[in-house]
Amino acid sequence: MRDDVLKLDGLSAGYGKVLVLRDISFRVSEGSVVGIIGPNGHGKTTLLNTICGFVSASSGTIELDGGHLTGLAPHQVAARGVVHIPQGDLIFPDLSIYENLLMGAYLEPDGAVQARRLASVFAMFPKLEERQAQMASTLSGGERRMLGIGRGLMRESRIMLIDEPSLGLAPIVVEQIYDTLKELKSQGRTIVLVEENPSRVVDFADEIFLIDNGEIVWSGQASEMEENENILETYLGG
Amino acid sequence: MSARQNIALALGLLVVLAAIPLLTSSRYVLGQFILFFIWFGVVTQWNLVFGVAGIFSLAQMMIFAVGGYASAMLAFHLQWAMWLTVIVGGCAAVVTSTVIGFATLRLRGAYVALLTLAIAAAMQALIIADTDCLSFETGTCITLTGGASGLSRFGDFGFRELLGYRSAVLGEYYLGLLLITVGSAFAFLIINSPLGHAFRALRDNSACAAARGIDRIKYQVMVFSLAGFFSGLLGGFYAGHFNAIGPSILDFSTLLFLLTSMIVGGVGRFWGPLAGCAAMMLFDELLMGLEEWRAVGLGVFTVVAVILFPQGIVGFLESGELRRIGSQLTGLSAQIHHFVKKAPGQ
Amino acid sequence: MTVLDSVLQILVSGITLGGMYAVSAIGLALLWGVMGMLNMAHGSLIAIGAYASVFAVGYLGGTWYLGLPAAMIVGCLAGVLLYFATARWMVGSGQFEMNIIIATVGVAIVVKSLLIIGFTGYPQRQPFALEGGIYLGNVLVPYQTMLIVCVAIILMMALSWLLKATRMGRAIRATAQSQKAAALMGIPAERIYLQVMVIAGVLAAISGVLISSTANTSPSLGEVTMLKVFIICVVAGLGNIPGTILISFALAVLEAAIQYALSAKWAFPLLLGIAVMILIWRPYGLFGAARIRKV
Repeated sequence: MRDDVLKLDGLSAGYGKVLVLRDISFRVSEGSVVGIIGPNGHGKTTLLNTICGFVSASSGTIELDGGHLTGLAPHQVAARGVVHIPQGDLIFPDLSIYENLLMGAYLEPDGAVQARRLASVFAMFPKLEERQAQMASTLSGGERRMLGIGRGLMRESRIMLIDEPSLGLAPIVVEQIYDTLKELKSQGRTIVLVEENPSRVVDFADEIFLIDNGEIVWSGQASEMEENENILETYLGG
Repeated sequence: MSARQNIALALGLLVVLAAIPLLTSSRYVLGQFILFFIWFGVVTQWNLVFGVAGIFSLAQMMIFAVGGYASAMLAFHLQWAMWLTVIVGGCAAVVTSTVIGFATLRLRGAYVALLTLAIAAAMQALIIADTDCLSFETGTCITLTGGASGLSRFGDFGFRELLGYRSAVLGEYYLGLLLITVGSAFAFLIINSPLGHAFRALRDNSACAAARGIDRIKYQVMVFSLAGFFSGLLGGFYAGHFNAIGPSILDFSTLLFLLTSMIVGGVGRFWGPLAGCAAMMLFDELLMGLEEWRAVGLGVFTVVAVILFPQGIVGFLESGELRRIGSQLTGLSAQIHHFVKKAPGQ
Repeated sequence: MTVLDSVLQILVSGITLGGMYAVSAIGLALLWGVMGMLNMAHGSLIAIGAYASVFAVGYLGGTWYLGLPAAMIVGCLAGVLLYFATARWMVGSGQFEMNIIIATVGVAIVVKSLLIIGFTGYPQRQPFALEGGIYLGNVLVPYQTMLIVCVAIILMMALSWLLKATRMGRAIRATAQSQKAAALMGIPAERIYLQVMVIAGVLAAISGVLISSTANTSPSLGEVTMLKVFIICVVAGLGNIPGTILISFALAVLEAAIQYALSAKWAFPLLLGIAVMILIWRPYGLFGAARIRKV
């Protein structure tokens, strides 16, 4: 039995009086990949934002390695070892690529460690190394996504939350991104992956949660998903 | 509150204000009330531009000054009757206001604030620097605007001749009350009219409102012009009441006092200007004995009020916070009632 | 005087003014760019700096050049106090943009009154000043002008180094570009805001020393300067620092030219007229980008 890295218990959250998430509970164990799927606008991104502290939980708890994350500010959650690679990249457009990556290592003041991480990110994305002096705003969609992931790898993390990495990208670029994610998985990282499109998640994740209307309506091993095609049809329209 | 409740409350207040001269004949108290009417009237119009239409204009006192100066200059140089010059002052303010409305049309937020503030400062600088003599009367230099010392003794509304020296202040009191009543009625109509809803739509989401066919340019200039008219009238009333006007009405501190009144009361809310002006003037009155520390106290009050009531006093009163306390109290009283009723039977 | 002399004269006074405006305007632009804060107490920070120097040298009896470090220390403290008195309580709330204006206005009233109570309203001489100068042809270039320009250039270089080459500077720029992403990197926004307030406080205080050295030190010193600095920031586009520096010098030279050709009386209104024209043509300033409003 592996240790739980992230544990959500009865989590409800929303904006103002509108609850977007209702009674969400699940665990993510060390080194596993959890996929969260469901139609758009049903709370997947809100779930990640709640874990990160951008949305405050109205009830329930979030624990990381047994310590409470509930009620912490986003920068404090980040300092506990949660790396969130958000939807739409959120890179710093007017910082150079190199500076963007350095910001990823803001919590890692040790220069030697920074240099080592930078080297490994550049090894993974040679394009970023070529263009490191350019402003991030000059990058294409796929390159921005790579920068977002690279920035997330610049510091020590207990868990990576990745939101819609394939959104808006050409199929061939999506392929590259997923190759990278598989590499991260093979390094033994703990990952929570949110996707609207279930087909890739099924190949990639160990365990899957289906969120509809703010609630977990189905969960199980990724392999079981294929046997339950009617679930996909009901919630995702096939 | 419903529109009907608002009107009832407003009429009640009007009766109370109309009865004040029956309770006191102190010229000081009535004078302070007249000043309150002027500031409250100005803030009401400003609130329409700033709070309802969402245009961060800081030119309000300048528009007020245009009304005041136009009236004073006509009365001073051409000896026109004050009643007439006030109307002309209102029209001059409309023109100024409309020009500013057009000049700031494409600007947003902080840009409007900074630009209008600078325009008002430029007007004050020009008045103070006005030293070219128009004529020499009894050996003194008469300038167009009166320069740094301003214009005075150009006439008033003639209440002194009509009502006698002692009761003249009553005439001005009721004239002031009439002005704020009309001004507030206008503000109430705007806030509750389709125009008001359009403004709210524009303020909350201009792109969305534009998509619904709300023409920002038309409404922005319209609200600037109409609010300008009442502000100009009040400027003329100010000049007539004090029988004087000077560049100090364009002082930063006056503008800030009124801006603070508007924000502390509750921006964009009908009752905001009343609550804010009353709170600020009362607080100012309380600090009267402190002399030079008075301004310090007022500044501290401003900061604390904005931190404690970010939505203003009226916003705070309307917010769920108070309602929550209210419902807890009614819940408690129901429980006590229940308990009291049950107790004798057991 | 030849035409060349006139041009030289205008340039000398323009660059002096420009240096002072730039130092002051950068602080304002930084606050706007990083936290969307329109600091109406900027004039107070300017006045505080000027009086800190007057106090350290005139009242405590320091050497004249100690006025500058004194102003920097006091400006730093003033920045911290301003943060805890205002922004600390409202950052992130929906009415921030408007309420911070009012709160800083309140602070401005308090500071001005306290300065009058402490130092009287009468103008005082700024000790941070050099006598004499050298002649370039027929034009006198005062040593004070050179001092002001040197201080301004050193400050701008220091700020540029701070923002470009340090971890703190990168974090400040990152927060200005995306607050959410900065938080995800573990950057505490409050700390950045505090740092920016301190930088703005120090810059404004130094500009206060410089400005009062060419005029006099009075409690309303900051108000006049603040308006000009506002115009500079707006014409440049709020938040754009290189643009702000450029426009500081451009408008200052223009101001000097108007003063020279017409009279001091018309300088501010004309400058304002030009600013209004520029804004009608480009509503977000010359170098400002339209912030995309959320739909």
